[in-house]
Amino acid sequence: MKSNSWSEHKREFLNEPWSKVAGRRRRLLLCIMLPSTFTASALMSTVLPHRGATVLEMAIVLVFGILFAWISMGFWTVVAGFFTLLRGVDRFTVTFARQKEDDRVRAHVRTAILFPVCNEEVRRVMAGLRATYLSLERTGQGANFHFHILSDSNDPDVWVEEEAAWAELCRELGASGRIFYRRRRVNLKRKSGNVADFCRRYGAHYTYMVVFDADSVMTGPTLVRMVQVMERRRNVGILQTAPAPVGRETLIARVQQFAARAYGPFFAAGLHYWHLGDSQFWGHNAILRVKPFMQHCCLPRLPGPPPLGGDILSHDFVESALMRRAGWSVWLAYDLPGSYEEMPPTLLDELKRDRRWCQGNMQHLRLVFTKGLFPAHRALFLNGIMSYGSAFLWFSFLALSTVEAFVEAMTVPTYFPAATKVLFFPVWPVWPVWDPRWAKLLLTSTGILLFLPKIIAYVLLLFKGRGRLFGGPLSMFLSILGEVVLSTLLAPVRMLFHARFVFATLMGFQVGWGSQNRDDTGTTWLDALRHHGFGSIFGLLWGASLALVNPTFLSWISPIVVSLALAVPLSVYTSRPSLGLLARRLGLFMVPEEIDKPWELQEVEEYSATPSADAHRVELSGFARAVVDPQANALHLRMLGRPRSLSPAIRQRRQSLVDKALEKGASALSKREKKELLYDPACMVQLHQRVWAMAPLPEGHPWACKVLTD
Amino acid sequence: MDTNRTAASGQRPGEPATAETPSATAGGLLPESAMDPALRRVMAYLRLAALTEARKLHTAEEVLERLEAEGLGGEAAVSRALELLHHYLPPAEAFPACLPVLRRHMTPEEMDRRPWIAWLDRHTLWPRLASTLLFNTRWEQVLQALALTLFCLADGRIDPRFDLFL
Repeated sequence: MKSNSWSEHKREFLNEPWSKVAGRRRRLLLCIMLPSTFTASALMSTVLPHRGATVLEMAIVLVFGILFAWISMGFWTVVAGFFTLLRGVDRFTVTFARQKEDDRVRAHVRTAILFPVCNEEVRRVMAGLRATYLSLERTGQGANFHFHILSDSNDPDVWVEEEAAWAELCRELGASGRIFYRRRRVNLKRKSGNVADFCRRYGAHYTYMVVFDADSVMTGPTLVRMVQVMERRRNVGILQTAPAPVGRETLIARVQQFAARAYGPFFAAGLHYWHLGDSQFWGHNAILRVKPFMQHCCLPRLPGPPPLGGDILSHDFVESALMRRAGWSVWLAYDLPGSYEEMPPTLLDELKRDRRWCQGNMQHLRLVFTKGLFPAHRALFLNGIMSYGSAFLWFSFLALSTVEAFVEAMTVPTYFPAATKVLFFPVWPVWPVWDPRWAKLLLTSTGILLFLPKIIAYVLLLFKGRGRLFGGPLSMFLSILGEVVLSTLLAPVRMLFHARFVFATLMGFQVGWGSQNRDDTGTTWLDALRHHGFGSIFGLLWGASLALVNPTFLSWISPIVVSLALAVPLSVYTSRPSLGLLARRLGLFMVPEEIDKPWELQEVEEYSATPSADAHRVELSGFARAVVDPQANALHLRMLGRPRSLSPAIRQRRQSLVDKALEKGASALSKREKKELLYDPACMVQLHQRVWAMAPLPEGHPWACKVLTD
Repeated sequence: MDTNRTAASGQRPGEPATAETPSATAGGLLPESAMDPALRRVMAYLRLAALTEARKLHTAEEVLERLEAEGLGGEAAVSRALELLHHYLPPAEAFPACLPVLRRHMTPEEMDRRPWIAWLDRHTLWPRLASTLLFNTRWEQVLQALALTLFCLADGRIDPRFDLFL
């Protein structure tokens, strides 16, 4: 059998002091969760007409129990975070150290900052990179950091723009040799493959790498501090920060930004309380130790076809589990500020992202039992699966409850079941009793688990004097109320989608891998109708049938039915930046970064808003720019390297493409044709020279542009 | 890069090719208006090129001198001017640097996703070997035969003394 390099006798850094504490804490969590779940399940069975005696009711109680355990885990996580933050000192915080020890960073240590991108908005990516670069320069330690733009873009126009923007940024910042660009021809294994490709080619140059998302921004002091922590604690394999979502203007994004900033720190501190060194990697805004990452974290392809086979989509969870399997610890630095990301701007964008994540998390079903993983990471895999599985279970719970309501309404009750008869004569009747007090008690306890964390967060933020950063106590209170209302309204809509995603994934339907929309453009009515129309009709039919058969049950689930019926306008209105800006003017859903905007975020905003000087110069973009602009053309040729020898058939086909491009212009070429020409240095040279050699072009010519018509 | 360009335009490295259509005023001075379009195109190109101002000026001077010497005018001049320009154009300056590749391996470690299969394989080695050696039969089939025998025994189809079938 192949020997495991991670096998127990070779694992690094075992028996660390925190592991026993983590074990005790996790046992405590189970001791709190399980009794409350059993109590709630028992209470649920008493609420049901047959006291959980039928198969249908048993299924309802079982599903309810799992859901209750799930939300109670979230609740106790926030409570743990509350006490951690209230105390203010956490001896297990990975960043906890004396200042003198912190400052020691070995002279040869270099850190790569990676920006894996795939058809992203180029200007926004460069703005984030630029802000991070300048922030690092301000710390005086920028020389120890290199930036790498790792492109997987398959859109030829984006490809050219990325190259040009990189060159422009290098020129502007004088950062040649500090900022690098590399584009893969084949996008194997998507983002994880992109990072792995970097590691194979350039990883040996670096001790650490910080992985960014396309919309990530981090401050220089935070990056320097992360390197210091990694230097001090040589047993840490991955150090994850808790990124704060910022920068969006649509209503839904602002509400989520507010929720993440108000309650997120409690949740992150709570997660740290349970996980300690068994934490998770979230795929970005984290620093990784390159050597063990290369040794242990390369991901295999799962056997079988997608969606449950093939490339591992949610690679980050698996990478942290593998890093931990090799003995390196994974920490969540919940107390490190200066780490930012952006939220999806609309509900539909969020759901599009969720579909990808759902498929990735469902793949973990096949990894839960992988040999050698730590139990904590198996639990984290299950936790990830439950992030979407819970929606499926909630939907199942509602469906089963509806069936129960139908059955109870449409069947004649048996007042004298066999058990109550003596010698075939009924002695006493059994009345179907339903006591709403128990149901209300159950609903209240569930409500407490869901909403108490928000009140806890409010109280502690006021107690710590941070209310001002959220617009003041009154604004914050109103924002929490608004957030509760909106999240309650959107929860059933999300539930329906997530349930569909889980079902589709388990049934073998694959999802696409597109880039994320990062614009505040809003959702059109047509788009909303197309995506939410089915859910709305389903909700209306559900409500109407219950109104006919069992109106009492309808009153209990009316919030869900109403939300589903209103899904279309909810999706449209929450995606509007105008409503988000109105909320901002009213002082609602404010986050600390809006009250006191960090310098880095200001830079990002300004740079994103300013058009590129180079692009403005030629008034061309994409493929046409690579043909006309001498700088873009020369840069592109340089990036391509040596020309390849081609067969005469290919050469002839490409020559005909060149002729077509010259005759009909860049817009007449398909993406595939543009890419084929862009890959061929000889074709690009020929196109460039022939376009410039054309006589002064009249208006309306396919290549007519400012520089060629003047 | 320059080599590519020269090769692609079908010229030999070295001196630029001579014009195919000599002008009537070859060797003489052309009126400025005849060279205007070519001049404007060369200037437009150089404005966009990544060169220092001195290099741009020098290149423009070289191109125009040569063009004037060849005595072309009109549309042919534009084409010829750009041909000359691409010949005289020095390599673009100030490209961003690329990091040298330092290649290393990164291969997936073993991920036994179903350890119970390996466990079963490990723990059924002896029965498998025994069934193969003794009965020349797969051990699953031996198990199957045993299960069938037990079932028949329980069902009363086989005499427990194994001497009679009912």
